[in-house]
Parts: sequence; C-alpha cells; structure tokens
Amino acid sequence: MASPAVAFETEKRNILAKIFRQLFIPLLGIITALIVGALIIFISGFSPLQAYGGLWKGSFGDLEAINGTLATATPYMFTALAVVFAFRAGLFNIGAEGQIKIGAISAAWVGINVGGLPSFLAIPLTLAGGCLGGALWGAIPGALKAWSGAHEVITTIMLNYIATFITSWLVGADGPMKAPARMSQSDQIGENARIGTIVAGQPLHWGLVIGVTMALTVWFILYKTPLGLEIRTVGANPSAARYAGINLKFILLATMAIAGMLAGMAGSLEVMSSPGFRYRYNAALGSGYGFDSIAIALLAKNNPLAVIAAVILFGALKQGASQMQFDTVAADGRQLPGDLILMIQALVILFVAADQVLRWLYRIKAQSGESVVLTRGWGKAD
Amino acid sequence: MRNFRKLGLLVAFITLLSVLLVACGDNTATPVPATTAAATKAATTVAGTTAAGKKLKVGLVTDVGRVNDKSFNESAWNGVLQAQKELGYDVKYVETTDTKDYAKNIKTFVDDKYDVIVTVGFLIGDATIEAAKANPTIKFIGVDQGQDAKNPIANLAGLIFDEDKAGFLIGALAAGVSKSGKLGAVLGTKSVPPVFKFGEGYKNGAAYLWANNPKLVKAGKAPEVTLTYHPDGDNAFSDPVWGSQQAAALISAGNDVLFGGGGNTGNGAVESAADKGIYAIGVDTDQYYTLPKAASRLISSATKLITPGVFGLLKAVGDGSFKGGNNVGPVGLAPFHDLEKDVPQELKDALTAIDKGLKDGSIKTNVVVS
Repeated sequence: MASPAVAFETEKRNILAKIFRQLFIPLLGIITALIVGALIIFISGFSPLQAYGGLWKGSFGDLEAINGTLATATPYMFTALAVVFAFRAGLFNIGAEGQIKIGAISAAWVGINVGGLPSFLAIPLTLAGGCLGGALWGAIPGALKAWSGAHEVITTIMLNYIATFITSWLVGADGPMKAPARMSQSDQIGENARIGTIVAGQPLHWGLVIGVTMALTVWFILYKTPLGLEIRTVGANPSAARYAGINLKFILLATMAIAGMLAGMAGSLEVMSSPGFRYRYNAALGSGYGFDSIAIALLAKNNPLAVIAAVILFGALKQGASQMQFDTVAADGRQLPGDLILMIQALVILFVAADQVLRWLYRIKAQSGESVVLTRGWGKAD
Repeated sequence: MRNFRKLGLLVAFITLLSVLLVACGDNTATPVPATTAAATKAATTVAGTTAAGKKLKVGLVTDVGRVNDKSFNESAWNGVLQAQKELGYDVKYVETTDTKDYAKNIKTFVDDKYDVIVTVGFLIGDATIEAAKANPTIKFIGVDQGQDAKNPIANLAGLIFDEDKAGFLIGALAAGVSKSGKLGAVLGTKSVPPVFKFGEGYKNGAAYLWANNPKLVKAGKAPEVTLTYHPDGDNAFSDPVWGSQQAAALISAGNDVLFGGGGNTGNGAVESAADKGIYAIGVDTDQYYTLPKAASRLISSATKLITPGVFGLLKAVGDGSFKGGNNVGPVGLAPFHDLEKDVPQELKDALTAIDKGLKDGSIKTNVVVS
C-alpha cells in the first residue's frame, strides 16, 4: 500500500507530465515550422539567422519590443476567446470582425458623449457600451441559429460585411460620427474614458490585464459553473442536451451573445487605449481579426487558458515582422519580401494547429481523450 | 498500411515542394530592387558621398502595401532608389501591414540612427509628425502629407501635389476624346483629399473644355461626369474586384472613358475598362508601364511625379537646401502612347495651353476641399 507521501508525489508527477505533454506538441510544431521556414528563407537567398534574429529582436529583444508584442496580442486575446467560447457550444463564430467593430463604435459613441463624468464612471460606462454593442451583434446570429437553424457561419460572415459598411459609413465622408479634418475616424473619446498605459510612452495598456482576467473567467465559467456544463453539453451532443432538459435555444443565444460581448470588449479597449488609433474609432479597426482569431483559437486547441500563450505567440510574429524585414538583407541588396514573412507566420500556425501531422511526422502516439473535434455537421441544432 | 505510409510521404513531399516553388516564385516577383541589383553593386563602388561628404542613410516606410504595388509606394521607393544610384545613399524599406504599425515602423529607422525617413501616404501623416517633432535631427519626407502652412516643422517636408490640376487636364482630355459624352471615374475614398481633388478636377476640366473649346468636344454636348467613390475602410485602395464591378456598371450605362484613381481599386477599374475596349486613364504614375494588360487602351494618366519629387527632396537634404513644410511637386499628363492618333492636334494644343494656364495661375480648377 503506497503511503500518502508517495501517492502525492505520483499525483504531482502526473500533473507535471500532463502539462509537459500538452506543451510538448505545440513547441515541437513551432520548432518544425521554423525549420521549414529557415529552409525556404535559405533557398530564397536570404540568411535564416538574420531573419530569425530580426524576428526575435523585434518581438522580445528588449523591453520595448516585449511591450509591443503584448500590446499587439491584447485585442486578439478577446477575439480568440470569442471564437473559443462559441466553439464550446459547437458554434463557429466567424463574426469576431463584425463584433469587434460594432463594439468599438458603440464604445466610441459612449466615450465621446460621457462629458463631465469622473473617470471611475466613464471608463466602465464606455466599456459597457462596447460590450453591449458586441453582445448585440453576437446575439443576432445566435437567435437566428436558435430559432431558425440558420447556420452561424453564414450569418456571422454576412454580418461582418454589414458591420464593416455601417461603421465605415458612420465615420465616412458624409457620416454622422466623422471627425472634421480626419479621414474615416471619429472624434476622440473624452479624457475621462481613456485607459492608460502600463509603462509611460509604451503602447501596452491595462487591457492586457483585463484580457488575462477574461481568459480566466471564461475558463471558470466553462468548467466550474452549471452554465458552462450546459454549454459544453450542447457542444458535445445537442440532441442529448435537449433530452437532458437543457434549454437549447437559450444556450445558443447566450453563448453567441457572450462571445460577441468578448469581441466587443476588444473593440472598446482598442478605442480606449492609445496604440495606433489615438482614442478614435478608425475604419481600419478590427480588419482581419475574424480569421486571425480562428487561427489562434485552433492554435490554443480551444482551451481558454492556452489562448493566453497562443496570442502572445501570434503577437510576437506580427510585432517582429518589421524588424525581420529590416534586418534581413541578401547579398545583392534585396530585402526579405513581406510575403515570405507571412508565409513563416502561416507555417507556425499550420504546424501547431495540425498536430495530427506532427504526430504522424514524429510518430507520437495520441493519449486517449486528447483529440480535438474540428468539424461539425450542418443543419438545425437538434 | 505500408502503402498509406508511402502515399502520405509522397503527398507531404509534393506539398513541401509546392511551398518551396512558391518561395522561388517570390524571387522573380521580388520588388524593384531586383532589377537594379546591378545598379546597387555599382552604387557601392561609386564614391557614395554627398556634397557634405556624408553617406546618408535613407529609410522608407510604406503605407499599408508593398514596395512593388505598381503605385504610390513603388513610385516613392523608386525615388529613393534613384538617390541610391546617383547619390550613393544607403537605403532600406519597411513595408507596413497594419495601420497600427506606422509609429513602430518609423521607429525601426529612428532606432538605427537613419538620417532621412520617407513615409508614404496621407494616413501615416500623424505618426510622421510625431516622429519629426521627437527627432529634430532626422529629416522626414512625407509623401502626400500636406503640412500646416502656418506652423511648418523644420525637419518635415510634406511632398504634395496639385491633384486637382492633374485631374483637370485628364478631364479636358476625356471630354475631347469621348464619343458618348459620358465620362466615368472609379476612385478611392472621398475622405482622402488627393483623391477628392483628382475627382473634382476631372469633372471641372471636362466642363472647362466644353465651356471654352466646345468644338473640341467630340460628343458635341456638355459632358456628363460620374464619380464613384469607394466607401471608407482598410481596403479603400486595395479592392480591385469592387473597382472592376463599378467600371462594368459605368460602361453599361454608356460611359466610354474611365478614370481609375485609387491604388489597386482604381487598377481593377482600369483593367476592366481596357478589357471592354473603352478609353482608360490611369493615376499617380504612367500606368502604361505598370498595367501592361491595360496598356493598349490607356490613353493617359494623371501623374503626380512622385519619383522626381522624392529624389529632389533627398538631393536637397544632401546639399543642404532642404526646407520643411509644404513642398509642391510637379504633375502632368502621361504620354498618349498607342492612342496618340486618337488625340487630334487641336486638342493637344488646347491641353498644352491649359497646362500652361494652370501653371501660371491664369486658369483655376475651382476645386475646394471641404
């Protein structure tokens, strides 16, 4: 009979082993991607050493770079959670782009109009405005799915377009929210509604802390609350869920609304902080976030806690790209083309997300219960 | 099972091979520097010093897009490359992929102690002004960035152009050659002042020809000008599909001259117009060379001579005559190339007279930016 001390040691070792196994495959994926990338860079006539050196310097080389990486990662934190959360209920949320835009413009509107309120009221109000906007934009496809079976992939994509055009018009040449003498941007939100940076003069702002908190909250909701259990049950088997008495329509609606809210929060924080947009709603906000977030969600294997690591990786790739281009010069003076940099980013995502390829490549056996369901059928949720 | 393994290996190999081939394809599609590789080698052996005896380091930050975008970024980069070739400067570029990265990309050059930083496009203007204020020892050249005439920043030269004058000229040309009297334009977003000026200039130039030289207007009636602007957004200048759709709509409505003014969006319209055999007019650079598919129907382009403009300012930095604030660069009509015979001599004379009038101020475009 094992003594309690030994049993505890074994338990600890098991948890460590599990964590190690979870991290090992993604790390292997990144390394494999970098090796293939290095090959491509070399064949194109550039030095992989210069390229990766530049990538590292640009993303983690000094405090400023790290600051930039985390700042770039922050909005993705929320939008990736928006995709992950919906996925738990079996829903593909392709609408992060529309949700972030609607959230951002709602927050901008509130932020511009909060006039004389003190900061501790203005900030939550502005944030809430954005959350409400995003939640609404997420609730629409949620309701359509729940009550008519309309597939959320189609509705969310279409709503992305609608959101893009509505917001473009609002701050466009003849739009009501356009700031005078500014192209496709709104007025600045009031001083009282702005979120400060963590280190003065650097782009990283407190949104990162909110982001990490949301990741933990999402994890908590999904795994430690009855609502989360219902959501996951619906995701695993909608018919069984209904048989078990779960209100399917409510869960679908609530899940999409919460997912939209998360993306909306990303939008609010983008407007409320300084990097890039200077406290205005900018028509360029959120472009491309929808699809990038899906890639990150897959990178994180739909695990809310892993999202934190995945967005940092993604942020590093984006942040380091310009230094990579600057540092990598071929013998004849050519600089590394931007398309090759994009290719490297894509390879990383490819190898980490398609872990089945890695397992086959390196002959690693999958443990039971570690597979990820990536496809879902069409049709109504029952 | 063995067969599957072999098959899997083969598939993986083919996939990897195609990825590598794409990368090799990248080589031939490499931006302009590849064609001047020989020139680069020559430049490094030529005495690369300026009048001041210093080898200047020049950096270029693009607007969202690539240095081989057949438009703005490429023209500006060509000006920088010319400085490399003729003045021996050390040059490098960084391509912007996200509007949030403007400040970061400029900083990449600031950190490496570059002497001159060229930034391209109206949108990067704010970030350029901030960087110029923070780094008074570095010279900045902002392409298409109008500066506050009352408070110029000494180390920031805004290279601007009178787009309305260029638009005026092509408007007159269009009115002169159009059989149907219907002139169309597919443009980037109205919120970018240069685009707006092109569009309004086009309209006013056509009206001018009808008012002053009605006999030269082929259609024999007042020209009808339709200006189509792209909605605001990240893709306003990179939406060629929308551009060609708008062009198709304008053509079926009877327009037989199409002016494409808006980066890749306009390019889509121009190529679509050329496809359907109507007159096309390009923008910014002589697009006869940059859009070979449309070359045969490209009667002219409203050119902002960005390359000589940038080169001129870079030379000024070297010989000490650099001045901050607004620097107006030249504009003009690109040559008629294959369609020379479609432009009667009287029309050519009229256009030359209009050009002279615009330059000396006797003819006004009457374009006001709100």
